[in-house]
Amino acid sequence: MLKYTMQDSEIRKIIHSYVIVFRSLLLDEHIKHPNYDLVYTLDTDAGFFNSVVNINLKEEDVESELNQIEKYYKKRNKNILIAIEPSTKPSNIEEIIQKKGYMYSSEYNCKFWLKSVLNFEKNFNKEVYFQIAFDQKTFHDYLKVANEGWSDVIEYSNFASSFSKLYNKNPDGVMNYHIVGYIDLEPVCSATLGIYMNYAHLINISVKKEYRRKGIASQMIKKASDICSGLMINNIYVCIDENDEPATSVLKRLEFRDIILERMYKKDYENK
Amino acid sequence: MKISNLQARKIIRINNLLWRCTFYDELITLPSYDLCFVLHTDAKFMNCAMNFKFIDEKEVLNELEIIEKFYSIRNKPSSLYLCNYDEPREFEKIIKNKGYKEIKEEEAIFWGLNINDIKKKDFNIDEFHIKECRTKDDFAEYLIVAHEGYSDFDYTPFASSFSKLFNTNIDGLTQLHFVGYVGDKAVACGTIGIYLDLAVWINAAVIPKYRIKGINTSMLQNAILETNKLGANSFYFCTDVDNIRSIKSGTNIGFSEVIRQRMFSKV
Repeated sequence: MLKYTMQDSEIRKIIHSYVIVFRSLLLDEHIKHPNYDLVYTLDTDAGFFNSVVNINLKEEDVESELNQIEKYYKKRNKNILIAIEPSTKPSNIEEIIQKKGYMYSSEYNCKFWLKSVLNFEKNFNKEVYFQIAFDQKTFHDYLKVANEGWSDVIEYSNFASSFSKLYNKNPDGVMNYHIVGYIDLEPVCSATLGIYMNYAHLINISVKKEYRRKGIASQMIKKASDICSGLMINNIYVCIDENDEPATSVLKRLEFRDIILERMYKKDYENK
Repeated sequence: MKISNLQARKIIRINNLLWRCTFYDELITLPSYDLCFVLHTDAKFMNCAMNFKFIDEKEVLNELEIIEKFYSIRNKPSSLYLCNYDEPREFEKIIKNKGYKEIKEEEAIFWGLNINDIKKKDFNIDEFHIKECRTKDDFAEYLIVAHEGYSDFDYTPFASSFSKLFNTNIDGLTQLHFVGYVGDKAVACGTIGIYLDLAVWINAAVIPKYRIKGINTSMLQNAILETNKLGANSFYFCTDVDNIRSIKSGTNIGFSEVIRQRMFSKV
């Protein structure tokens, strides 16, 4: 699963910063407990957005905390997804939650990829012009591209980012760069580079359907790495579905390393 | 009242989140600790890192550098609040070796109570009644009382503000702000925050002329009963170790010590 070893605390920081960055863009709620994060979004059925991540519990605490977690999602009329990462504790949690009725659900598995920003080639394709959204028009372009770019990939697109989240949801310590790529004045791709402490995550990457397979996503990732370099941030992280083959091949081509796999467990209330 | 290590960490985090809604200019929660910061005060206990859970000394030392940088760019001394539940257990020794010294006068205690253990009291204070803040006028009264009630501490003039009370919403935290009146005069205030089944009472203040009459205890008891209706069943508040009046207002209705925090600072 892991190509090289990473301390549990480092894994937890990567995941925690990722969730905080997503809070500013898509999540409707993010509750940070001392020993796990609860994430939740209202207007989508995408399971992996309603999940508990970063679990670091003692075995004797699992049951009572699971009850609280289940109560939290039940109130919000959502099924729960539990992400098991290499840092998750206790180590026998998969066994415990299976006994509680959770089923392994590999279609929601996510993988984090990492690359040092120093290792990017600096050649840019001049055809794509990138702009950081500071004005309403560029934000509008961002949302339009995100909507179109995600529409054929997963079901949450129509309800994903919104003006109010892009403008108003800034958790303490997060810096966001909303990037829009243009070809001949037409917005064709978008993504957000979110930085929390020294962790930079490129999230919500989307390319309009007719512009795919032209290296545009790679150009956008290079642009994000360029921003990171300017801010003295060393690494850039990207998280994608484990089975998203096009995205995986882009990251492999750019020589990203896969570092964390989140294995997902699901429990449907209606099946209880 | 006995609490677990996990419960201790939750209490401290909720207390921090709540102060973020009324006082702090910044609160950064990391997986292994919280960084709190307030700009317009020299009160050290509001510019500190706490709630530590590190694996080993190496990790502590790495993070200490980040903490010190965080405070130095904000022109504040780096302070650490250590409690008896922090990890690693030899934390105190490690930071003393790095030049941190204990500041005795900033020692604090968290007090806790389960709803089943409350010793309810009847209060007969002339014309005293409690109102939950709902309007701007109510909040204005809250701020005036907080200002007067804390005038004997150094952070008062810059404490709560309208913008923080109205605009700083922390995910998952429900806050109730109360003002206590004697007749028409606002004399006491306090805020209680509920986070799932746990509630923390903060920013309790009584203006000097109305102290030692049971007003603070009455406010606290009222806040407990109101938040119990919303699902909270354990309650906590934090005081300075030598704030006898405040301590008594809790112990009178059944609170007992649950966490002790000691402040360490590097000049």
